[in-house]
Amino acid sequence: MKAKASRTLCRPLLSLLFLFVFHLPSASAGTTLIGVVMPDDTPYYSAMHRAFVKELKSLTPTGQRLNIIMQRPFPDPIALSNTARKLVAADVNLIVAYGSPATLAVIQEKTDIPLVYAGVYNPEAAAVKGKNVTGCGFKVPLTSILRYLKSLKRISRLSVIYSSLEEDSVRQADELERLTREQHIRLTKINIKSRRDIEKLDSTIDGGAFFITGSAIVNSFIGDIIPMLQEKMAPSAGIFPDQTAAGVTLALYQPPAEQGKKAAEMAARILWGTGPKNIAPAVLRDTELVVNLRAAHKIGINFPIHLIVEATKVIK
Amino acid sequence: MIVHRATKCFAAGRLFLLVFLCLTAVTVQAAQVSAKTGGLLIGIEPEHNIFDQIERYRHLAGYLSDQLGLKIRLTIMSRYGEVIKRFKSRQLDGAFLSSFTAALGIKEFQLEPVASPVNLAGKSTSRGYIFVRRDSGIKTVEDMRGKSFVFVDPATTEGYLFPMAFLRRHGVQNQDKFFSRCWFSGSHASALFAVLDGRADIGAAKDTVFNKQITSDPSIKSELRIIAKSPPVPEVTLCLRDDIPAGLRRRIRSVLLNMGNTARGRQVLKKFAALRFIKANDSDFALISNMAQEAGITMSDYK
Repeated sequence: MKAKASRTLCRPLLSLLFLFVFHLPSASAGTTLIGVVMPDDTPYYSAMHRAFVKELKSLTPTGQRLNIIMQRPFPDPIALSNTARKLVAADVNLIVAYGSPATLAVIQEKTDIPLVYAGVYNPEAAAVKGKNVTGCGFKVPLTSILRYLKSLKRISRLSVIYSSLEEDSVRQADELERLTREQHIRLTKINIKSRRDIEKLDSTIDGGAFFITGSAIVNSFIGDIIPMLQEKMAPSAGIFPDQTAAGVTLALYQPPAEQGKKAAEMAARILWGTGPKNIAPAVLRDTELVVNLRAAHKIGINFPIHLIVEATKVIK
Repeated sequence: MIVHRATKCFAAGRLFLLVFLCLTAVTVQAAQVSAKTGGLLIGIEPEHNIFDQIERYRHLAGYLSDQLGLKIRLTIMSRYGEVIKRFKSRQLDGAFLSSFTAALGIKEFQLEPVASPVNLAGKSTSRGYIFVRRDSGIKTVEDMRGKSFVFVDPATTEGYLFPMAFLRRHGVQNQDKFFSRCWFSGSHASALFAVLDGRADIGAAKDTVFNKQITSDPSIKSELRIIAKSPPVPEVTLCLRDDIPAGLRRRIRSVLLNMGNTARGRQVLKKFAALRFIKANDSDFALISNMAQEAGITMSDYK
């Protein structure tokens, strides 16, 4: 009882402390305050957010001002939770969260502030539900990625680079575990939680093929990971388009701008009166395939012509 | 350097063009020579992997050349409908045609259907499939409203004619309004991959390609749901011009139908991935005309 009372007292005090320390702006007449939680500075989510802002501005009535509070915490549960609490304390009109971990962190705050999520992998399988929650996620068929990797080289073992701190990254690793089991391919899970795990990575990888999950943490170390894989002459695949710029061999992804635009449409409807529970969540499934011939060349792999023909984008 | 879809298509197109030009250079020359030497120029419609396709047909052409005592040369078309143009300009003596172009060629150019290969599964026919991803939630035509549809090519039975007839039968009069997007993938396998990847919600392709992909990757079967199947139509048929001497046409048919009787013939059949050839008839293609009528497609418009 005592502990509960102390928690009840602590929460508003903590909120006040946040407000005092961070001086967050608050909503005022004619101004709509939107809080955004974007894990780290993940390019996939950034692209989504740019489309979100552009679309929301176009949907905002003349005379109405949008004030966006952008928060980019490191994507571990504590940092995300603190950020969510901070935005709740700032009493924003709407919270936008990118990716499953950020979305779950906001939901855990049990706030009445409407939440619109975007960039959540397969939201139907995630616990991103609540009376004030709606949004749009995406689904990329991991079976296709596995098939494409198999067409690059004979695969007896697949390593999945994921982060146990991110719920959607774990789900992707689990999904691939099931798929590889069905196809008699051995699977190794490589868990990245911090830079320390990257330092150990070089000694744990030894060829095969790699799948890089849609993890903000893994993505933040992508520039360190890829050269190690290339040194082992191992092809890699991911579901974030920007990973190919870092040297990932192929990426199958849902275009982020579409999710940003869709999230903005939902946000606009909520801000101008519709309840989130009256807006059905969406799952975008259309994908684009990028093949990185340059990266493939470095590891001595030639893309088969039929795979190049399927690609939406080719990096030469 | 990042090459986007349009540029990439151009690049892939250039590669294809290079292969195509090399073949055409040889074959156009062959066409000019054929009149003098008595050789024949036979066209092939493109498949997803033209390199595998050329390899399969190369052995068959070699066998026919030896058995007939005249040079059989092959030329691969850039797309399904191109064969019609080539027949019109008299640049082909015959072609291995899919059911749609065969029906069109029989009707418009009086081509004679000679023989059809029986595939390793014991079939000389194929069916059109309309399919979706199992997790798409699409089960009926009404569920397809506002989604995207990938066809194969306007000159294919399984990849266009059948799905169009099916849609008309289910009340879809204007596919451009009913779907958010309709497009052509260019090959049956590409249509299949487009749906598997989520680049299209609904696709159409022939069952033989569908089953071949499942054989090479059994996981595909659990990912897709077949919404509709067409009646069987001849998959591939060798059709010859009617101005080729009747005796030569009979000899060609006889060589193909009797391939299984010799060791070398059986070897070539194996490389061609067929059990045998069977006789083809005009009546095999009656169904195609009916399907075109139901789909509201005028076949002569393809000329």
